Amino acid sequence: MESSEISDAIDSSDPAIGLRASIALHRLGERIEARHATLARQQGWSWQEIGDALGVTRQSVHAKYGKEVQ
Amino acid sequence: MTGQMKTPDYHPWSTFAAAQQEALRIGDRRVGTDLLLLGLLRDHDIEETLHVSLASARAQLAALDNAALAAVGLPEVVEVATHVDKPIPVRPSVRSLMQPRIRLTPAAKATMQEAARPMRRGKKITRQRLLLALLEQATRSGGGTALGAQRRPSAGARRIGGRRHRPRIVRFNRTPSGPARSR
Repeated sequence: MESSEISDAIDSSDPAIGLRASIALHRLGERIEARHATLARQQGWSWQEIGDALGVTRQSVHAKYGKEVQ
Repeated sequence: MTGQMKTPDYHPWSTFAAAQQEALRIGDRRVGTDLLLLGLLRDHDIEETLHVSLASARAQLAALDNAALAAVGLPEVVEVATHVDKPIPVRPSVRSLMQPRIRLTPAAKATMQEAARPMRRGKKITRQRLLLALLEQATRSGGGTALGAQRRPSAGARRIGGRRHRPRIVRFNRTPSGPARSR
């Protein structure tokens, strides 16, 4: 799908659907982040590197995923 | 409904903890009313009362997400479940509830408070009480994510108990901005 088609769909939709889609995207994004942050740790990345990749501090990444990984 | 029956083997925080596990499963950072319902559905009695299984409720929620994504032109997400549930104690500690940093949405918080409101000392909040509060919350917000998840806003505005209730964004379990307020 062309990106212009996507933006058309986003613009023309009912807000009920659009807002729900926004939540669904948030959820999807979190799932991808969690999966790959864990994968990165398994591959030996430092928390600093993961934080840099996500644009947040190493502390916040560690607080979020530290317990799951170890 | 069991009404006055006391259930000393239940504490409402265990439902919150279960809902947090559901949030981790789907990648949500907040526990909304929909996830509270999933948390309740982990109890077999609630499943029977509602004639809804936990698995079908999860599937329905995922289907709604996918339908919304499809409506804005994005492909369906094929779910690969990676989250492993932690065992939930009967009465989770505050520390264990705060650790995942997954808070209640305003609507879910109001629901929990509503479930506790008519209680006096010596009476426990039961699952049934919490379910009732969820149902009331869903009615107030003109559909609710938890139950009638596909309601259109125009259908939500109607008179309930003498007050005009407008459909609000809480149906989507997200406030537009800002982090969760501290408790």
